[in-house]
Amino acid sequence: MTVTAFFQGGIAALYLGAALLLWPSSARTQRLAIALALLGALLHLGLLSLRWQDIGQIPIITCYEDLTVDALAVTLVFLAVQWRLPELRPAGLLALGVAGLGVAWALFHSRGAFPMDPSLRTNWLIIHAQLNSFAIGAGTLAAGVHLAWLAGRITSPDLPALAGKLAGWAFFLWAAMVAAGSYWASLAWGRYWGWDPIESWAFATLMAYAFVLHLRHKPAWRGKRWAVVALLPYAMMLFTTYGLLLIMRSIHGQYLFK
Amino acid sequence: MRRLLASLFRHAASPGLALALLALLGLAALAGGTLPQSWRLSPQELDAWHQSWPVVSLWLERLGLADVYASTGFLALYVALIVNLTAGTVAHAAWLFVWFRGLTPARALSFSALPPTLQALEDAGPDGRRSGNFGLPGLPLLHAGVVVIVIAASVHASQRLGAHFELAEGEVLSQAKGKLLLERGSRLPDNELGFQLRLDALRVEMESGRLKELQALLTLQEAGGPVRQETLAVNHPLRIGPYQVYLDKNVGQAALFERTLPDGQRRNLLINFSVMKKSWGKDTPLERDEVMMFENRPVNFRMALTPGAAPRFLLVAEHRGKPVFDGVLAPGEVADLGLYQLKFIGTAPWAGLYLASGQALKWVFAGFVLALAGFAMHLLFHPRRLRLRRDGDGWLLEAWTLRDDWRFERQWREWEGGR
Repeated sequence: MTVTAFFQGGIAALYLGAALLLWPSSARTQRLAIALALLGALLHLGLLSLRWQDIGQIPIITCYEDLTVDALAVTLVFLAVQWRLPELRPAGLLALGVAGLGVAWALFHSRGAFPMDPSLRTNWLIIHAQLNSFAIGAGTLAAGVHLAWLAGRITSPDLPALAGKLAGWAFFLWAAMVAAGSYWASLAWGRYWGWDPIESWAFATLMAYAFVLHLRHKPAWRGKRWAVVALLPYAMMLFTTYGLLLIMRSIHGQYLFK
Repeated sequence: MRRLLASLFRHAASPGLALALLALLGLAALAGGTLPQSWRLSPQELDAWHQSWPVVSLWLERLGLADVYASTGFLALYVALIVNLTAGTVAHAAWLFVWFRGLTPARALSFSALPPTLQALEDAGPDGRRSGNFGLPGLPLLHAGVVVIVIAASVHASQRLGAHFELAEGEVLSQAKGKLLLERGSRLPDNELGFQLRLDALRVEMESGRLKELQALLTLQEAGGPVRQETLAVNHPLRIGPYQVYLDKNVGQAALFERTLPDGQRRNLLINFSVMKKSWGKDTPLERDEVMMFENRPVNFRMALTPGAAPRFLLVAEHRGKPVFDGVLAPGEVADLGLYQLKFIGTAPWAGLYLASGQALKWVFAGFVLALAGFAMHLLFHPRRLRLRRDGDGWLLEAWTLRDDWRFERQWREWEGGR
C-alpha cells in the first residue's frame, strides 16, 4: 500500500467514523463527529494540494480525481451548513458516509496522471467540474436532511422550508453546471447541446428537481411524502455522474480517464 | 367568450400542467438518453440493433422513441412548456406584486408592549418597511429565462448551420458545394461562402499517446478584405462574418495526386486518410477502401498510404471485377487506370474542421444567465414587508413574507413567544 493510499484510507475512515458518530443524538458525540470530519477535510485538502503539485495541473480529470474532489465538496458543504444550522447535523450520516465511500471508491481507480487534452485546458472545465462537485454536495446534504427527517432524527419546525431550500440550491448548482458545460461545448466544438446520454440524463435530473420543487406548492405534498419523492432527483444526479459512464458511451467518457 | 378565454388561461397557467410537463420532459430525456437513438448509432450499429431486436426496434420507431428529440411528441411538449411557463409566470408575478404592495398581510401579531427589535418600525410610515426586494422578481426572471432558452433554442435549430470539412495543408475552402458535410437538420449556406480559407500548417503534438497540442495555422481572406494569418486552436473558434470555424479534432494524411483525364485535362486530387491520434507521427500504412464513380462507371479502389520521409501509395483498382491497376507508387510515379491516369505527388497532413453559424445562440446563453440570475435572487434575497399600527392601547404587527423564509419564521416565533 502506497503512502497516498494509506493517507486516503485514513481520510475515508475519519469520514465514515464521523458519520457513525452522528447517529446518536447526544450533542457531545456530534461535536466529536464534527471534529473528526474537520480533521478529515483538512487532510483531504492537503492530499489534493499535493496531487495538484505532483501532476502540475488541477486534479479534476481522472475518475480518481473526480471522486476525491466530489467527496471533499460534499464534506465542505455539510461542514459549512451545519456550522450555521447545527440542528441539521444528523444529515451528516449520509453526507459524510457518501464522502467516505467516495474517497474509498477512488482508491479502486488508477492514480496515474494524464496530460490534459487541449479542449480541457480552459477555465470552463474548472467552473463546470466544480459546479458539478458542489451540486453533488448540496444534493447529498438535501438527501441527508430528507432521510433524517423520514427517520425522525430532525424535528425542527423549519424542516420543510430548509429541505426545500437545500433542494433549491442543488437545482441551482446543477443548472449552473449544465449552463457552464453548454457554453464550454459551444466554444470547443460549436455545438452547445448534443443530447449525448450524459446531457440527456443531466437534463432529466434538472427536470426531476424542478418537478419536486414545484410539487412543494401542493399543500398535500409538503410533508414526509415530499421528502420521499425528493430523493429521486438525487439518485438521478448520482447515476448521471457516476453510473451512466459504466454502461453507456458518452463524450464525457473520453475525458474522465479511468 | 371572455369566460372561455379566462378558463383557457387558467388551464394554461395551472401548476398541475407544469408538474405534468416537467415529468413528461424528464421521462422523454431519460428515454432519449438511455434507449438506442437512430441518429446516435453508426449505420453498422443501427443494422445490428435492428437485427438483434426486430420487434423492440420496430415498436420504438412506431412510438417515436427511436429518435425522441426529433419526434412530434417532444415538439408538442416544448410548445406546451412555453405556453405554460409564459401564462404561469405572468399570472403568478402579477398576483405576487399586487399582493406584496396591497393591504392584506399574510399574518398579524398583537403586542401590548413593543419588543425592542420592532421599535425602529415605528418610523417606517403607513406603508411599512420593505427589505429583500431583489427576491421578488427572482422566480419570474427564472421562468422568463427558461422561456427565452426554449424559444432561442427552437429558432437556432431551425436556422443553424453545422458542417464538417477537411483541409489539407495548402488546400483552400471557398465554396460550400462538394466540400461541406452537413449535419442533420442543418441548412446549406450559399455556395459562395464569402471568404477563402487556406490551411498553411497543422501542428499536432502528442505525449504518452495522448493529444497535447492541436493548432491550425490558416490564411484567411474575407470578400473585399485584406489577407490575414490566423491561428485556430481548440476552445478558441475563429469568427468569419456570420460563421465560426472550429477544430474538429480529427486529423490525417492526404495523398496528393495529379489526375489526367482522357481529354488531356489535369486536375489535382486529394485522398484523405484518417489517422488515430495515438498513431500520429508513425509511418504505419493507412488503409482506405472506396468506390469512385468515373463517367457513371464504378471503380473499386483499395488503397494504403505510408506517410513519412519516403511516402508510398499502394493501389489496387478494379473495374467490373477486372483488375485495372495493382502496384505501389512512389512520388512522381504514374498509375494508368485506363479511364484516367493518376500521378502520385506526395502527402500532406489534413485537419478536420467544423463550420457553424446561428444568430440565435447568444439568446440561448442570455436565457441561461437570466434564469440563473433570477433563481440566485430568489435563493439569496427574501422579500419581507413589515407594518406596525396602533391597535387600541397596543400594537399590531402585520407581515408580508413568502413561504419558506425560515429565518423570518424563527424571528416571528421569538416575537410570538415574547409577548
